[in-house]
Amino acid sequence: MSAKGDMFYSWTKSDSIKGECGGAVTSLLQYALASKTVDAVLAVCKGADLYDAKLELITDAAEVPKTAGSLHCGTLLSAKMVKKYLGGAKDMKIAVPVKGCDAMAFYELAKRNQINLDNIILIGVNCGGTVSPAIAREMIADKYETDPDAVFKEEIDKGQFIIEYKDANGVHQTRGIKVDDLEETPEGYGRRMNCQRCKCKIPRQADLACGNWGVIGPKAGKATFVEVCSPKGAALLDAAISANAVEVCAPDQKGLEIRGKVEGAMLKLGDKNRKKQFEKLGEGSERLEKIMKITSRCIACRACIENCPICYCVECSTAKPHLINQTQVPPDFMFHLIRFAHIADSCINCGQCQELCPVDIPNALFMHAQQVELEKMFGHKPGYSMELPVLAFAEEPMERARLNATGSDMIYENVFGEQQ
Amino acid sequence: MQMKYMTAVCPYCGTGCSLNLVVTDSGVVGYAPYHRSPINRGKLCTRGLHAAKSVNEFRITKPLSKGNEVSEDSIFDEALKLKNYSGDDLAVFVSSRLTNEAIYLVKRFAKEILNCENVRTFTDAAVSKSVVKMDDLKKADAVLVIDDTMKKLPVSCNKLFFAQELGARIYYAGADSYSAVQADEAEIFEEGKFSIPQNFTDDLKAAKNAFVVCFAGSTFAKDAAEYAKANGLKFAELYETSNGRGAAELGCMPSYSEFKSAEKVPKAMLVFAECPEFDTEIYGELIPQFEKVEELVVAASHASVLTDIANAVIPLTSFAEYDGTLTNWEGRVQNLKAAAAAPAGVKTPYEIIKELSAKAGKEISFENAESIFAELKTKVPAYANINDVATDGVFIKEV
Repeated sequence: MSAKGDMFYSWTKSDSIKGECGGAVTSLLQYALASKTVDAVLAVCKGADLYDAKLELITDAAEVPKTAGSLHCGTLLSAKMVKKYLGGAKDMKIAVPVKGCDAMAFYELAKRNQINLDNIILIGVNCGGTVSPAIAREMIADKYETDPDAVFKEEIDKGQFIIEYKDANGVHQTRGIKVDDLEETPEGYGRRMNCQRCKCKIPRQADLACGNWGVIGPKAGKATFVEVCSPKGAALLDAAISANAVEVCAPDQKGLEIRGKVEGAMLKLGDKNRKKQFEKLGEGSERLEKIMKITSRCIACRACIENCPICYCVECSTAKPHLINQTQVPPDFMFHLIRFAHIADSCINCGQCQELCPVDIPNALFMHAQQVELEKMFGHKPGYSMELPVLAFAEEPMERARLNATGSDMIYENVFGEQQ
Repeated sequence: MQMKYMTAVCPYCGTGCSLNLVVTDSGVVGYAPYHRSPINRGKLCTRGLHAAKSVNEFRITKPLSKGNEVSEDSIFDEALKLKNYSGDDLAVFVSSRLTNEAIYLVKRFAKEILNCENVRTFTDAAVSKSVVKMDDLKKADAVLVIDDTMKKLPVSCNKLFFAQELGARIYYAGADSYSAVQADEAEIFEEGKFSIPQNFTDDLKAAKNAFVVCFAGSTFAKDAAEYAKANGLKFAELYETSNGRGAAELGCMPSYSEFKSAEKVPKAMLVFAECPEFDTEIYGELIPQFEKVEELVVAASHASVLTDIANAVIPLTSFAEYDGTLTNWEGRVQNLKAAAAAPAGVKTPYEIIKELSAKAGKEISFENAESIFAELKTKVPAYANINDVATDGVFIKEV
């Protein structure tokens, strides 16, 4: 019997699963579905090509193997999709492989009563960062001088972005360039800017945290490192072992150290990048002026709100005519102030408000810069537990009751109405 | 329950953004960003964010004769009454948001069945088929933006912000607008008169890589095109409809203003109508003209002020429900695959043309959207070299 905190090397027992590093994640997902522990698996599948990651809801266990393998061009905000299109998992049980940002998003939506985490099994996967598909293709053409369509595998390992491809003569080639060097380029190559600042590399708030860091010795490349992070994770792993879906052994002691070192190095790099990026924003009124200037590009399309894993209000304050003139473009700075006030304490730095902004406002940079300051002030760390956000520290249950009694606040009526 | 992503092209402006439609057992329920698009990289503006929702809103699902539900047979009979009109009495309009294949078939139908040579669109355009590509704008070192183009096509014009951050200067000329706010220097037209300050021209001509950018429907588009030509500057004309460039390549005449101000309107009209949401913007001001038409036949996916007053309305699939190609303003062809099933009994523009022409005794036949494109390639030089259209989802090969 495994328990929270246990660590293993694990690999698949199925011949049909050709996952990276032993295929344990794919097998665990398949077992969860086949055993009816869950009703569905929500996972990333390869779309048109290597650079196209698409989320798919899978209900047939036989189809799970197609989810195998990492696609570093994703970032798909699975939590928001569960909220928007799968009823917040209120009526179905779903197993979801998650990167750190995805896992954090699940917690933030769950604490806002938008997702039922009891019905979700989070299979965490280590993530050293993701690359935007368009940037990846440009970077491969420019810096690797390789046709992006000839690439059949990409990975981030030992500080390098590595591609494998067939050259013009059909010969298998492998080439890596240091991520640091790519990220220094003026074109902005390398990982997404928010990934560069990320400090959630091993998602231990998931039920299991899986990855290849720390797998050494004879099992290198053939097993997945699995850390058990919750009783739910332990139960799934134990059941999958009993059903002969996966096998486990104790991890190499040296491997444990290496895993710790990799994570430590990544966190240090995250700190370094935060310092570098936040410093460029300046401080005090200089920072404010910079933010005001760049946000004057805003066209008030609300893509940031639409994609934010924190935003869930049925009636958004930015859509209220007494707060924001609804016909003026660019909108008043109040539009952004409302977002900062409502989100900044809980920003998980998923980067989507920036990546999906049609006018390229670095929203995530602005928001995350504020989150780290708020965390210093109030000690609230979003995305790691069910602890309520800073703004909810007021007597929230009483406040909800009071607002409900007025009969006029649509947000509370709509969102919490069914609990009455 | 099933849920998957189907990639589609946004049906609004000419940028050609793509998005993932989230399709479940109950059809299209929402959207997810399509990060892989080389055009928009997942980004969408206000319109794209609403594209998925529009699929199921205000749909026309039954043939209507003066507002009453009738059989398909009788609506086709009514539509073919158009054959009784000829010359200036008859006009055919097609939305430049329909696929190239649909526009092509409407043109064939107009010519072969209705004996009408001109097929027009409810748009206005300047004259050019831009040779500038969207990503060229990222490498600009000086850009003159005419009119509120940056707001009209935000995801095309975000390349200008990229250039601006790398040191490019943005000049603006036009009425006071969003784009004026973004520019480094702005000239606000007094009394709507086109005039570019000499220092703008000097700077643009001195720059290594300078562009003039203007949306096609701007009242200054023609002036902008002439100004660019006179000063040897590259001109990017940004079409405002998802297949505006395609309609131009197929030789459809942009006739919005002409129709709006015409003293004499045709007695009979066939209209393959626009997609939803912005229909009132397009048709609203044309209503007094439409009211003068005695036989108004409209094929439409969504209810609008136009379908409200039409004599006959033929239901049509929406942008998410049929295969075909679209050409964005830079000339890039994207391939659409039907993402969801249309409401029962609702047909594609292709099926409607096929059945109407058969009923008229001269069937325009084809196998599928791909075979129509194959035929179209032989007629339109711009598409002659496009071979790989039959991929999954949108046609994503970078140009």
